[in-house]
Amino acid sequence: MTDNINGKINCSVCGSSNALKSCTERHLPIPYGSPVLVIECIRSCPDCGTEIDETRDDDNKAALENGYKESIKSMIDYLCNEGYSLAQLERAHDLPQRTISRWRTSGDLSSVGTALLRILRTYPWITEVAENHFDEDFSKGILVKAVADELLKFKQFTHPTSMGVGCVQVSGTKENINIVSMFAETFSTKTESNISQTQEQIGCEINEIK
Amino acid sequence: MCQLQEPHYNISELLEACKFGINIEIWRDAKKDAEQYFNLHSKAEIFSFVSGDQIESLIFIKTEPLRLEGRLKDVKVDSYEFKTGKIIGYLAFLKSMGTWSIKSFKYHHKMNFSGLMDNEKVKNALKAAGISRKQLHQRSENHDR
Repeated sequence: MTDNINGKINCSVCGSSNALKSCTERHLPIPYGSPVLVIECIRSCPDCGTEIDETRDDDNKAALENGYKESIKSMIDYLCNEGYSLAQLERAHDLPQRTISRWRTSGDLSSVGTALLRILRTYPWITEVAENHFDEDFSKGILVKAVADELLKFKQFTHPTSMGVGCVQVSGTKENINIVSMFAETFSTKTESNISQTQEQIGCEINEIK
Repeated sequence: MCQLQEPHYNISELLEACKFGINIEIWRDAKKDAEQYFNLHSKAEIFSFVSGDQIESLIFIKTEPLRLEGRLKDVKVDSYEFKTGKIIGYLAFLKSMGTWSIKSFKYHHKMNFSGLMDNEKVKNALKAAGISRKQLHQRSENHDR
């Protein structure tokens, strides 16, 4: 990229010397944190219409670091508000004592630590799975219970619920709510039963209700 | 007879440019897509992703002339599909005035999301469990009383 005297720069796609660089600010979402204000610089060419990113990575480094630090504190606070103590989280996940407390104070942790916190924040009941030594039956049971809890929150809803990324939409139905809650009840009381037994029991329960 | 098209560029030259971050740039929309689809926020992360071992099985799709503002330019664009984990990605790039540029970097249109979250899956699970719609309606009516 070469600067011309009049502030115009060369376009690397069509070779025109009429391209212009402009910088704007925009909000970048941070998982479980507040959006961070970042600078975005674009080279636009009026002759060919291309828009090339000219942002320097260093320009947003500090803002992103602060955003991630703030999200660490926010995730840990959320887990505490959900009733998990830091000591409990550390014990369940085999972390050295005061690790999470240190993360909360400094906001300084490795990418592995950040990944762990995001998983815990997304699925807080993973801690209960860890406390139960990752028992397969328990982990399946609590997963189904979590689904049931989530669906029951929408029991009265009539509008589709948007879940996931981009255009993916899932609409909940009353049928799904009922069956998943039944499934959860059965699963949570029958930790040693296998899937087919559980399915049979659900069928029986439905017949009893009839 | 249909002739198989050859790539216009040697992709290893692009990967080399990405590796060293020299003579390589990215289009605005491609950078936004990299952020949205691959969680890559900086150019260094994007170029490292492309040149590193995170892209598996690159398959050449086609070479096309660059189309800008409805007009064809005398520059070719090569497009590839690739895999990274369970994701099928799409990469399109070109070289003009001695500079490589990544034009597109996103999910391939072949990428199918319906298996990830789909009500049909729940319905099929109910069916597999031998639970009929009728039974559910009855359960639902009893519950409402």
